[in-house]
Amino acid sequence: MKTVSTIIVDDESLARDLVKHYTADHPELNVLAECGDGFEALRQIQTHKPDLLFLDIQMPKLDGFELLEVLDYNPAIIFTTAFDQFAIKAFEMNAIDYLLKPFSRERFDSAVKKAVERIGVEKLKTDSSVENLKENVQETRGNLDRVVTRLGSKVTVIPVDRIWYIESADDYVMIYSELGNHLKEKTMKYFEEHLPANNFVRIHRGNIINLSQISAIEPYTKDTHIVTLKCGAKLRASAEGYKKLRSML
Amino acid sequence: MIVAVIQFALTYGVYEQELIVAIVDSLLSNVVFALLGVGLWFMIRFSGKDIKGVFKNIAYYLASCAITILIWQTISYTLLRILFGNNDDYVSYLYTSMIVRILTGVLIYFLLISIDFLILSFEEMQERAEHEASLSAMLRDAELSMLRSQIRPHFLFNSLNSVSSLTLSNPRAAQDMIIKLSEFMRHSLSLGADTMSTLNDELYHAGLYLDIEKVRFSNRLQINKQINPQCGELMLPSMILQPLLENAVKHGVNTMLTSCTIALKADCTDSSLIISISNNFDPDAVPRKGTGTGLTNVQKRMAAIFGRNDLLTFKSENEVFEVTLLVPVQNH
Repeated sequence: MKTVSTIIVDDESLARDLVKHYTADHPELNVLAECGDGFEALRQIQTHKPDLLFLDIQMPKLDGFELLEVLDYNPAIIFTTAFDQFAIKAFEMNAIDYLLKPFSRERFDSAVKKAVERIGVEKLKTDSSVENLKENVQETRGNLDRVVTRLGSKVTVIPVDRIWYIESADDYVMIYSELGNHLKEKTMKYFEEHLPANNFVRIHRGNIINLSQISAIEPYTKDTHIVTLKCGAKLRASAEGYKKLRSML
Repeated sequence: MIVAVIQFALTYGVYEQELIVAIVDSLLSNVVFALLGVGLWFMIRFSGKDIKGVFKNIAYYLASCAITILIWQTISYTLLRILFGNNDDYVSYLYTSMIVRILTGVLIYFLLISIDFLILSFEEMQERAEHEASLSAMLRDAELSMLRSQIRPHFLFNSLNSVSSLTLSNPRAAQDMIIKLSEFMRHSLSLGADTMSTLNDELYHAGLYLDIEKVRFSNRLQINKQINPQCGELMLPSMILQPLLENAVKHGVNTMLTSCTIALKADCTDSSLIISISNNFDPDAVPRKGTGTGLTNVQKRMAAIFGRNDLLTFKSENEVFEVTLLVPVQNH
């Protein structure tokens, strides 16, 4: 029998025990690791590359969604959560299944069955479902309150109020913040839509700035202005960007 | 108006003055008084309440009475003299009636003052009623939010999930947890927003809650209690500690990978019961949405019950967050 490798991620040990216990009845499942937090999970997942994740959402430091965001590898996901309307919405589009705690053995079995079938079919395909899932999660979660970035194995969680400004860089954006400069694979449009609109404004095609960081605004050419930030950066504001900026100050 | 008519009748009938003179006289003096009356109204409205003490009050109103009458008589006398100075009969009447006019003026002055005070206190009553209505609305809000905090789905379902897990690994512990959870839920469902309980009772139920969380988080949560046993019978609003404890769990245990200690202290003085709840937290953790609503609700509820806004204080230092609740001792 072909086995499905899996990792259990939940910050409550009893909750992990339960999933572990249920998996004992499934010889096709091979539990590689159990993790109590998002950082540990990230390490284990990158090391083991499991086929399937049992993933809790509410966890200290790095929650389930943020973990998915920084994974550069896409396992199948079964969410296990007590109550999370966002997870439910997100799932409805893409996760294999979600188990609402407390869940029965039968419910667990059916989720595993679905997962095994799906993994058998899609194992070799680059899995777009997690990508879609990540998008959908943000669609339904509203404003960002922090941004998670990863460089190699180092994950940084940046609270949005510590971001100075964001600059476009091809398919990426560069986030300049108190916690250093971090590259993130997202579009400017995404940040424009998801950063809190009362604190951030897109002053130019290439820049979104944090309003609280502005130290000076000076006219530059006929239509443009130069915005100086407290960190010293001088950024150009287009005519349209300046109009938006002025309406917010 | 009535006074004007009476005065007109007297002037015209009794003193047999000319009709036109009588009308002008009565209208003029009364219009002047009415204008002064408006002034009086504002005087009472803006300064009347600030004057403390009976004698000061009497002196204040006598003085303002004298001034009012003086101004009134001066103005109306002057105007009447200008208008009818050549009518000797009238001028002598004006002289003789001066004392009557002044006495009437005093009378009307006090009448006006009384009416003004009546209006003022009526307004105050209305204001108080409005204030009370808003208070009871706040109480209802607090009650609602308390209900919301009672049925906290995360807590309930995660606890039930722990029970589910324990039934497999440790049925005794599972049973223990179910009993604690039931007792806790029963208590929280039976209470209204204005119910008061003894500290002992509240601590018992807080203990149930912390025991349940302790089962969920095991060694990630440490609990440290320092209770002065002499304060046990003092009263406090029921379940007022619950949102504070939930807050401690949410911002402590839920943000930390290492162990979190929640300390619960209670002590009392003659006038108040002092309860503090503290938790250490990860300073790097990013505050998540919804921060502070628990504290605000407690503050609102305390204000609705005790009429004071300063009963809940909090501070955050050395990676420890501490809330202190001051409950005034009520005499029954």
